[in-house]
Amino acid sequence: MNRRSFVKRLALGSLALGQLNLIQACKAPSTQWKFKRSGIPMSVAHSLRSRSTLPTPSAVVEHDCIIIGAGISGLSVGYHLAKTGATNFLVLEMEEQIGGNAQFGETNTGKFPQGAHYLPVQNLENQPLLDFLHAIGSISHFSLDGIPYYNEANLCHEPEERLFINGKWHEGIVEALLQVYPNEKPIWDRFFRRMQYFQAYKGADGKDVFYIPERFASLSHDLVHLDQLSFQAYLTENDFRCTSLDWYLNYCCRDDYGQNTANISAFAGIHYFAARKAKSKNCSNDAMLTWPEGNAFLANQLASAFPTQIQCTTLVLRVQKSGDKRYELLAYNWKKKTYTAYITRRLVICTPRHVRARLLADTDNRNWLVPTHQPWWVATVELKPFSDFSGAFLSWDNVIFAHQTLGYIHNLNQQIAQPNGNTLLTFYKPLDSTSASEIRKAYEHQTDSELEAEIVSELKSIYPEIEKYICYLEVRLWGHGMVSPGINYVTNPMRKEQQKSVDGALYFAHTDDAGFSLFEEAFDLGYQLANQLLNTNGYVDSL
Amino acid sequence: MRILFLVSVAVIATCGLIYELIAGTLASYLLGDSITQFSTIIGVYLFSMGIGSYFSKFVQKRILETFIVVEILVGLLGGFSSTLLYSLFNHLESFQFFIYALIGTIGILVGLEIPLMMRILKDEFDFKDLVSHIFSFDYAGALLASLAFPLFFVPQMGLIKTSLFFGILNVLIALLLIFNRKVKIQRTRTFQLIGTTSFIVLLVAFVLGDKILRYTEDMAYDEKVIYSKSTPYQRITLTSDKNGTKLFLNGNLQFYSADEYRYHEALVHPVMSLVANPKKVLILGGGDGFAVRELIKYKTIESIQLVDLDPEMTRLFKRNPQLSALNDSALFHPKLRITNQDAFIWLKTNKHVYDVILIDLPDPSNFSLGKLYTDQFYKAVGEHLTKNGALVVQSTSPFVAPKSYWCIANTLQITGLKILPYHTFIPSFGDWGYLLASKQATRQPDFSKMPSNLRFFSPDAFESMCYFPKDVAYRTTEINRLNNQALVHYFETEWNQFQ
Ligand SMILES: Cc1cc2nc3c(=O)[nH]c(=O)nc-3n(C[C@H](O)[C@H](O)[C@H](O)COP(=O)(O)OP(=O)(O)OC[C@H]3O[C@@H](n4cnc5c(N)ncnc54)[C@H](O)[C@@H]3O)c2cc1C
Repeated sequence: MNRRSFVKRLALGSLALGQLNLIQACKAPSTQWKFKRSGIPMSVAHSLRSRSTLPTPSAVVEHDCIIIGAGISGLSVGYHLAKTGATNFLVLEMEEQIGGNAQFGETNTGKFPQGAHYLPVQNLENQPLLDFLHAIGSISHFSLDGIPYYNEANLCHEPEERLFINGKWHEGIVEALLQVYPNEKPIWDRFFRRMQYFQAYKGADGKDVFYIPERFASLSHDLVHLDQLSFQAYLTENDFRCTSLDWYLNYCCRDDYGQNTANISAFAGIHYFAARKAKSKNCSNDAMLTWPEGNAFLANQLASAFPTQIQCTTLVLRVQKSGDKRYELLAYNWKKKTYTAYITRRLVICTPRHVRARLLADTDNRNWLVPTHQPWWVATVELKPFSDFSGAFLSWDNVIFAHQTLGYIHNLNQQIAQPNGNTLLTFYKPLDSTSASEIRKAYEHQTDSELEAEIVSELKSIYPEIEKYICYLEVRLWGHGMVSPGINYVTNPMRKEQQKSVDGALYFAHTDDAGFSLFEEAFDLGYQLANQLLNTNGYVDSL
Repeated sequence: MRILFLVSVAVIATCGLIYELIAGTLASYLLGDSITQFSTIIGVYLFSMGIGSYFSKFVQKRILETFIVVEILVGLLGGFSSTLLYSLFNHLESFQFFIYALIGTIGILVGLEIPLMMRILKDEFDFKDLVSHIFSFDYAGALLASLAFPLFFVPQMGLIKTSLFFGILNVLIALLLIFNRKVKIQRTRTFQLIGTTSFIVLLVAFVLGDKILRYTEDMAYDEKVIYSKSTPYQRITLTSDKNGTKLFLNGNLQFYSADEYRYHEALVHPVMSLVANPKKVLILGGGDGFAVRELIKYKTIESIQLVDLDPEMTRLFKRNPQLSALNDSALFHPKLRITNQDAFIWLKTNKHVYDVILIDLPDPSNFSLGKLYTDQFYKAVGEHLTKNGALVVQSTSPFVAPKSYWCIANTLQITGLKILPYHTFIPSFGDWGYLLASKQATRQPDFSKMPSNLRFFSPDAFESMCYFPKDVAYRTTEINRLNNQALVHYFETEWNQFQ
């Protein structure tokens, strides 16, 4: 009489406590896989540094407006220009692919992100982004009072997250921690009450101090003191300390900023919890939008407004003044191995600040405020059929308690088709064991096979058996991941000062300028900059 | 003497071909995929015969004695081949290997027969007469076998008795040689003993054939797995007992042949009666062909499109004789088009509209399957429904899993469809639920065009099916969405509690 009970699902606990076991579900495992390191070759990227021996360009091209960098910031500038019909601009991008930190990879089994992979549902003030999400179908419609209905296909599908702790997968992350550390709940409650307080905290101008994007946040920085101490110091001061919360907050900071609470300012730490006040009609207010290829989906949607105006594999090496209010760029196409000079009246630099400083070394040698960028690796494995039956189901986000690697994303979770065997998992690890520059140096001379060996051994520390299942491994090493808002970066007046345009000819937009590396900030910086360009006398005339 | 030998050539040839046919039939019967099984069996058999012929040259002395031994061995092995295959099917890890080993051995022995025979007769005939006689009798025997096997032996005797019968013939040849005074052989005593014993053993087995059959079938089929295969999508398992066949997908019972007609009649006929003149029908899932079997009872249907994820399912239900007997070979119907694709993807990439849509998908027992019960899925389905069309969804047990059942109902409704819930009792499933849905306000179905040859369903039965007593009555639930998979959570909890 029972339709299901023929063979009960085996709930095999893990054999070695604290270690995850893969259980072979199908074909015989092997130890052969293909390895790929994605991204621009290291040697090419470094030619930006050795600038002494720059050759003369073989061609000179003139353009009304040049944008350096096809990350989300640069793409957003282009998108908002293109939306008005403008076509007289060109985006130069050094990578083979657009998207910057939001690039993607692909195997026969599916797509996967190489970096940024989700976007939370949005704060309502952020109309330009809501419009964009509506235009690409991720918001299906709005209620009469303007609250969005999100497209379910793009919302993160259930099961959303699980945590591996005490030798078992548990549903949810906070829920799981509280299940394992029930005594620590009062501290959590106090912490979250405090975060709620900051969420509603208004500056002297009546605006929220914590808001995404920054444009709508209060200008009166009356919480500046919180940017003068580390998040960890703040937590200690307020007695928000216990095993589970410590780990959780470190996890959150490493996940969003690439660094633990000791190296992030309290302001930035609180921002993580207090800046989101989204509303939506058909999902929870902290729901997330995600795609198999991550935010590369959004990058490509932005770029589809001006597909022919992007030039990839073009590394800009140097920017120089060329007469009055004009700039001359020297760019190297590392695929074609050609050097080209670009002359423009409007130059928009959408690269991280350290690149900006280097590019402008000859023209603008002010003392740039450059934030720390933590290196990361992101590794995607395609695995043969397996299951890790030890508690909760494979989820979109799979986090591992007290592990250097944050965990992994199950990319096929967003797929509506029934799975047919292989799985694609993307593991994330911020490299924050020592200072960022030391780590970068260490990785600089690493060969591909050394990198591969390191990643495999890291994956084995999670799944000892994993080698038998891997059929593809792709690694993306991010030398400069995202801005880590350390002490006195976000509220430092120099940050905003140095984002200002110069002489109506040189403009900047990058998430370094916002202090928070978020899609929303990149999008909004691009939106503002496009408007600024369009409003400048002469821009529309020259169309 | 000459005639005796030539007749035995014909008998030998008949027997040889029969064993090959038996092995091929059993292999495709037990293992499925008749084309592959038949051709590999034939290949292995012919090749082994070649080996046998080759080795015949190493028989230097006592050719006649060797021939007698070969006959007795072929008789025993071939005679008991189907008994062995039937009874060992479930007890051998490597059944496939066993079947090839057996057929290979028989093949080698049969391969020895003709060359030995030719050498025995080489002094009796001219060489050219010898070759022509032997081969004409050989081929005549083969023709006899290939005609008699399907037309007479299998229907009359069944496989077990057929093979025993031909085993007896082989041994009889041996006995004729042993007891014939004119044939001069050494050690006649031993031969007489062995030959007679083998003959008696085979004869007894033949007489008790029906009992053996029942015994071996019991061993093979008493709720035993008769087919199991892991495809990229699921594990397909067929089991059988005295009353019928069961199909499990990933361990979940999909049908029991003893009462599946209840399930499928209740699935198909209400929705077909809800639409005035249904011409185009879409089936999502249903690769077993049972729903098609019910549909083709309506002569007015112009086309049926079946979308089933797993090519292995539709292949199995088309090719396996046991299974295609169950669905009346419905999957061969000329009005049917089978597409092996993911239903969700298919809906998103096709534009056609249908008067009737049958959704017969596996239960929402995991998150991937749960997606096929979401509002997004039903929205996509709705786009393929004509204005006056209707659909039906198989929707788990309202008794065991009332929240799950009503969650599916509420989810259908949220997409703008009008629903009509009903349920019925299916012994192997228990109380089972369905949901009718249409774009227009629900009318009562008009059963006047319903086929008359149904075994279970009737208009008055439908009236009671629409009644939901208190314990299965309507409940409010969440809507099943991609981002909450409420149904999978309900389903998990309710079925776990029930166990
Ligand atoms: C591992 C990781 C995970 C992340 N996950 C998320 C997430 O899930 N959600 C989220 O919102 N954010 C995430 N982020 C943050 C992400 O960085 C931002 O969301 C956003 O993509 C940043 O865009 P950007 O345009 O400001 O910067 P970048 O992405 O840094 O873009 C700069 C662009 O300039 C190009 N460039 C640099 N120098 C040159 C040169 N000399 N010549 C030509 N081109 C040049 C670069 O190749 C790049 O394309 C993640 C970041 C990392 C590293």
